[in-house]
Amino acid sequence: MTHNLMNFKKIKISSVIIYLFLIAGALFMIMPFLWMISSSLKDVESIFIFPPQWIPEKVNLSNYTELFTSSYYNFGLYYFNTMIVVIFRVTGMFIFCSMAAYGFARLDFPFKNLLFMIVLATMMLPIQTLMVPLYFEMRFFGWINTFKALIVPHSLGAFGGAFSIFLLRQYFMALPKDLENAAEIDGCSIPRTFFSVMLPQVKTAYAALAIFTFQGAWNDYVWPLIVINSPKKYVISLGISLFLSDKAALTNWPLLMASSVLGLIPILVVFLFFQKYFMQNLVMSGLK
Amino acid sequence: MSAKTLSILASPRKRTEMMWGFIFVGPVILGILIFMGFPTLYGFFISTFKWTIIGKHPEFIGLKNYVRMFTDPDFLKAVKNTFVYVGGVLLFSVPLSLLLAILFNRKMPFGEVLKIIYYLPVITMMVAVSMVWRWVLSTEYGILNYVIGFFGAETIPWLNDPKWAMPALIIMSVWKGVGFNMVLFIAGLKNISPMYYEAADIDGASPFRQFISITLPLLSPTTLFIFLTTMMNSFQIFAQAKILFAGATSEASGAGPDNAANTIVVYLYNNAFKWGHAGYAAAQGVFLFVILIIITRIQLSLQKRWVHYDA
Repeated sequence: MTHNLMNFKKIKISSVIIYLFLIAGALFMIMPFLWMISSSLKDVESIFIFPPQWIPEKVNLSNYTELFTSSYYNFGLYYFNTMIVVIFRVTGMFIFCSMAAYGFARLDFPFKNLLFMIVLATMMLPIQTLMVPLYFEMRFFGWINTFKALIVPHSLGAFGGAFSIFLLRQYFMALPKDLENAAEIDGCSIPRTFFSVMLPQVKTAYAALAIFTFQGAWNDYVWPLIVINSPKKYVISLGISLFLSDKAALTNWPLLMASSVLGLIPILVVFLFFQKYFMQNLVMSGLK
Repeated sequence: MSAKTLSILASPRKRTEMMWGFIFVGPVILGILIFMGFPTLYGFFISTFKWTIIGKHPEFIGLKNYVRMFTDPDFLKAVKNTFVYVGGVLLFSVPLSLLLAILFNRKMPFGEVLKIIYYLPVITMMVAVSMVWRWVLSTEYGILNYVIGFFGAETIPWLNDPKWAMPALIIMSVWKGVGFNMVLFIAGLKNISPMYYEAADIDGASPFRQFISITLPLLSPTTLFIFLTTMMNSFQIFAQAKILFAGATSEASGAGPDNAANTIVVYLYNNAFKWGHAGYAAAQGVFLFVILIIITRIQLSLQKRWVHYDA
């Protein structure tokens, strides 16, 4: 009896220590976000008050209005541009990556394995290594400063689409062959079978991949940095990095933090609503 | 033509299937060839030229860009910095995320909420959080120096001292990525059958012993995957370095004080788009490409030999 009680106590104490450790870690993880929000609500004087105030004495929203209305920053436009890129990339992924995934999973044609290996090989080829040739290629196409450059390559599975194709292929392969056989008996053509019978079966994968693609498109920085230089076509990440070219603005911390908040809010909202899909993606990626 | 291909061509039904097969995978194959395949070869081509970003009158110089690369102290320093960075991130991120996964692998109040908080930085925009970390790491007014000052530590000039530039970069990157690896480790732990632990309990093995003899070996596929993905991603480090250290040097090149945070991709980017040396930058792209190919090769061969798969 006493032995059991001792054991119970020991477990309790170690659990409490672990719990406190995890909470302390979580505070460290969330600290930069709280600090960002708090700073974005201050004015240029109160930002340098020491010791730092977590809750600003008077809440000041002028930084946000400045980002939307000043002549130098136009975050409304950056939001609009980013949304266009996001919507087209997600749609492109839906159409082209799922078609390719279905082709690789269920149709038979020559060089199928070779072509699939080529798709997989792109996973280890990041955009960073190809900056220079891609820039020349885009200039040759006349795509510099166009939405085409921001949308077309990703929609056609380049720069990360391989992951979506790989996952959707796994889903299609897991579906029973009977579905297609039944459709064929009913006289469905292959594209008809794909769109009306097979696609509805992989809805859950679609949800997860839509979020994955949204996240990639929203946060994208390197590619827009290479192909966009006109502020009219800026996406949100380029809008935030505008501060880098202006030494005075770089120390206007409240304004800078407000711009970061604007960059983070949409993705955080999506994350909090669809949190389970984010993690699901990740776990799927580890299973390959 | 192989016998298989001939037999496909023989039946009309098979022919239709083949046609649709090519139509279905065609757009993606085309996209990959145009936007990745061709640029890879084109990159090799550009790297043998003295070629400015304006693109006028390129001059063929053979392997001179590569010779220049290996004799350029700035490039060699960027390579060294990148390796130090990759090593630092691996050293902290992988064990830390494993520790977190093990600690989270039990029931606790608000466990899910805590997990989400650790995962939060993963989904955020690198540009935005790098800006936030510039402010967090500010020497005089930064919150990090305030917090460590609270515990009696001295003020650290994170972004202005060559000695601290790399640690600053590593701390930020571990913060950004630890949740990603943690979730993967948690999934890996869930896949280990409780049977093994029950058997070990009966044999009287200590928790530490169980960790060494059961958890680590059975987790090795996950660990290998995490180790190599973290490594691949870390070699491509760009945005953090560029943004954390922009303006800290007179050239605003994002290379950090005394080039202490200059990495391969930052140097490549500056060469191409700031100084206009496209040919030289292309050679650096090829160099990075070769490093990533080598890591992938290692990954494939290790997967065959080392890893214990749970039968």
